[in-house]
Amino acid sequence: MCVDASGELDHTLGIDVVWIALFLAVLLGWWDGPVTCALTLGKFIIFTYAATPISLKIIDLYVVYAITTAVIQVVYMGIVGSFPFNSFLSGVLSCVGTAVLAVCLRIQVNKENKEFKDLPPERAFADFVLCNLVLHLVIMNFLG
Amino acid sequence: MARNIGFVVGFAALICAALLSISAAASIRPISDAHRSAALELFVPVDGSFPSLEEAYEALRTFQILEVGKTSDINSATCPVVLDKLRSPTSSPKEFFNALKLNGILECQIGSQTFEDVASHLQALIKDADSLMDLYYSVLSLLHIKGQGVSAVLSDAEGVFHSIKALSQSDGRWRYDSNNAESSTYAAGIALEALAAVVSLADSEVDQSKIGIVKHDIEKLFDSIKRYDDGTLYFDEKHVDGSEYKGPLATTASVVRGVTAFAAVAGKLNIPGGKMLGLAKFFLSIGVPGSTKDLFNQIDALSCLESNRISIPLILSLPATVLSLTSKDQLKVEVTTVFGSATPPLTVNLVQASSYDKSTPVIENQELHFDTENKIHYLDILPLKIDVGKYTLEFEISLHDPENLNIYATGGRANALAFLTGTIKVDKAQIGVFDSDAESAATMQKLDLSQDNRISLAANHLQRMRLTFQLVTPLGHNFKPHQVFLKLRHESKVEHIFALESSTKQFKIILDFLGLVEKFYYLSGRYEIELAIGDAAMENSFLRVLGYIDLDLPEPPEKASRPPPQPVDPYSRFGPKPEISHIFRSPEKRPPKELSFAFLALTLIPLVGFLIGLLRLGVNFKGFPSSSVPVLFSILFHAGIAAVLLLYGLFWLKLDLFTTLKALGLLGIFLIFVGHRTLSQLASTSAKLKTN
Repeated sequence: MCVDASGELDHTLGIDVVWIALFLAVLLGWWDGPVTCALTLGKFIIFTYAATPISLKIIDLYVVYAITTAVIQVVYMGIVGSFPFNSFLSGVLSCVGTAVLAVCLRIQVNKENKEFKDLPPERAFADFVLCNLVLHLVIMNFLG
Repeated sequence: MARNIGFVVGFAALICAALLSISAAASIRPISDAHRSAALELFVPVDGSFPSLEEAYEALRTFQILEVGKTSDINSATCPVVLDKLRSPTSSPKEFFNALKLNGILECQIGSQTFEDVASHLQALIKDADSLMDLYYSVLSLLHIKGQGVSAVLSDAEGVFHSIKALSQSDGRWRYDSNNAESSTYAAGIALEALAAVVSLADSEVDQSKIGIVKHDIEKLFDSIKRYDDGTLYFDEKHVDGSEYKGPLATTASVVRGVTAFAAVAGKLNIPGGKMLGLAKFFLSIGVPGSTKDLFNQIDALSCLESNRISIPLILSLPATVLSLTSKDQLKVEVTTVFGSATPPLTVNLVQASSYDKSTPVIENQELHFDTENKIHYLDILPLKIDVGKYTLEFEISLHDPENLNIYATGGRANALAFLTGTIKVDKAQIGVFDSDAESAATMQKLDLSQDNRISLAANHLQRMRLTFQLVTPLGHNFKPHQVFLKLRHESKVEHIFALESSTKQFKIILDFLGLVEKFYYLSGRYEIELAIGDAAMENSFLRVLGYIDLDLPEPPEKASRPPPQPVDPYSRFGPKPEISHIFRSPEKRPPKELSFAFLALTLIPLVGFLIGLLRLGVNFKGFPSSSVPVLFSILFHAGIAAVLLLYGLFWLKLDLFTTLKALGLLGIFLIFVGHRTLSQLASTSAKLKTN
C-alpha cells in the first residue's frame, strides 16, 4: 500500500492479491493448518461441485481445456521467442476468446442464475456458436 | 596534366587574340582566292538552275567578275525560262529586267525580233510608269536591249529624266513614288542608275544644267555618309525600321552602282578620293560574306569601284603582320586595287613606326623598296635595330605620275599594326632557400633554363625561398612579358600560383613559408616548382618544371581549412561505378522443427484430455432427436458448423478473405436457417418435457 501525492490510498494490484488470499484463507480455514486447508478444498470439489448439472460440467471442462491450450502456447512462445507475433496472438486469443464465450454460455445456461431466467438455453447456445464462428474467422485471418 | 595543357592553350589563345586584334584594325586585304572559293561554295545551282532569275543573275555576275565558274552549267535549264519571260506579253518590268540582265551574261540564242517586241513593250511601259522602281526596271531593260545590239531609243528622254528627278528630296535621297513620303538612300542609288541609263539612251543630248543639278544631289547624298572608327565609310537609311530597309551593305552597294554609273555618263563628279577609298575599305572590311546576296553586293560594288570615273581606290595592306627577328623577316607591304590588280608606279614611305603602348616613334621616314617581280614593297627591319613588341606603322603612298592623282585615290596616310617577335633570353637565374634573418648569406643555386636539369631544395616553415632572373631581348634590353608565374604543386595535386614582381633590372619572388603555411593548407611534402613565362612578342614562351622543394610545415590545428577537393578526371564519370553490396534483413531465427512438432503434439493433448473428461462425465447422445425431420436438421446443423470450420481451414491454407466471406455468407445463411429449426425443435421438446 502506497500513499500518493493526493494522500489517498494508491489502489495497486497488491491489494487485490491480498484480498483474494484473505478470502481464500477465511474460506478454507487456513489458520487451521495446511492439511485442513487441503481437506477443505477436497471436500469442496467432491461434494459441492459434484452437485452441478452435467451441462455445466461440460462447459467447465471445455474452459479448462481452452485455458490449458493457451498456457501451452505461451510456454512455447517463452521458449522460442515471439516471432511471428501475430500467429502467437491469434492462437492465444482464440483459446482465451472461446473460453470467455464458454463462460458466458455457462452464466446464461445456469438455472440458478436469476438474471437469465427467461432466456432459453438453446438461444444461448446459438449465440455461443455464432460468436465462436465470428471469433474464429477473425483468428484465421490474423493467423497469417 | 590538364593544367599544363590549360596553360599552353591559354598562351595560344592570348597570342591569337592579340593577332586578331591587329587584324581587326588593319586586316583589309584585296579580294582574294578566299572570295572565289566562297562564291563557288555559296552559289550552287539546284538541279542545274537557280530558284529565280534574279538569283541566277547574282550568281553569274559574281562568277563573271571573279573569273570563276562556268555559265554552261545552267544554260540549258535557264535559257528557256528567260525566253519565256521575254516573249510573254504579261511580264512585269521587273521580270523583263531580270531576264535581260541574265541574258547579258548567259547569251542565250534570242532573235532580234523578240528584242524589238520587248523594246516597244517597254516604251509603252515607260510612258505609263509612275513609280521609281517601274521606271528603273523599264529604262534599264531598254539599256540592256541596246547592249545586245538592237537599236533602242528613249523617245521622251527629258520627260523620263524629269519624272525620275521629281522624286528626289533635298538631302540627296529619293522617294519610291509620289504617294510615299518616305525617302530612302537605297532609292537614291536606284534613281541615279536609272538617270544614267536615261542619259545614255537619249537620242539627243540631255540638258547639262539638269545633269548639274543631279551632281549637286549626289554631293548632298555624300554629305550623309556615315563612318566607322576604322575609317570605313558607308551609307545607311535614316530610319532603320522602314518597310523597305535593306541594310548598310545593300544600300551602300546601290549608291556606289548609281554614282559610278552616273559618273560614267556625266563626267567628273566633285567627290573627294578619300570617300571612294573609305567606301572601298567598307566593302573589303566585310571579309568573306556568308550569304549569296551579301557576296553579290560586295563583289558587284567593288567591281564598280575598280574602274570608275571618279577615283579608283588603292588599298595598302600587309600580307604578314607578325614579323620575326629570329627568322629575319622583312616588312612587306602591298598596294593594289580592290581586286588585287596592278597599280601605276608609286612609292611607299614608312612615315613613322611607334610602339603601341607608349606612342613614341622608334623609326621615321623609311622608304620601302619595290620588288618588281612580286609587286611588293619591302623594308629590311633588322638593320633598324627595333626591339620586340607591338607597333603602329604609318605609311604614305606617293604616286610617281602627278596626273594619276585625279584618277586614283590613295587616301593619304594609312595605319597598320605589326608584331615584332623574337627569342627572349633568361639570364642570371638563381634559386635558393635561406633562413628568414640571413638573406644576404643565402647560398643560391644557378639555374640554366635552356637545359633540363631539375633542382631539388628542402625547406621548413621558418625559411624562405628566393628566385631571381633577368629577361633580355635580342637587342639586349630588359623585357617585361605579360605572364610571369611561379607554380608550386603538391603531390596531392593541390596547386598554388604566384606572380613575380619586376623591378627595372630583374624579376624576383621571395616565398616566405611562415606566412604561407595556412595558404598551403599545412600540407607538407614534395612540391613541384614550375615557372611560366609568356608574351605575344616572345617566340620561346615556356612552361618549365624547375625541380622540386620538400617542405616541412607544422601540423594543422583543429580549425584549419582542408585543401579543396581536386578535380576528378572528367572521363572517370563514365567508368564502372563502385559495387553496392545489398544488406538484406537477416531472417528471423526459427526454432528447430522437432521442437515445433513436439509442441504441436503437446497442444493437441488438452483436446485428448477434454474428450477423456467428457467420457468420464458420462456424455451421451440421448438428447439427439430420433424422428426423421429433426434428425435431418440436426445432422445438417452439425454438418454446417463442420463446413464452416473446414472453410476456415481452407481460408488459412489458400483462399483469400473475399472468397471466404462470400462462401461464409452462403454457409451462414444455410446454418442460420438449419440451426434455427434444430434449436427451436430442441427447445419445444424440452419445453414439452418440462410441462410434462
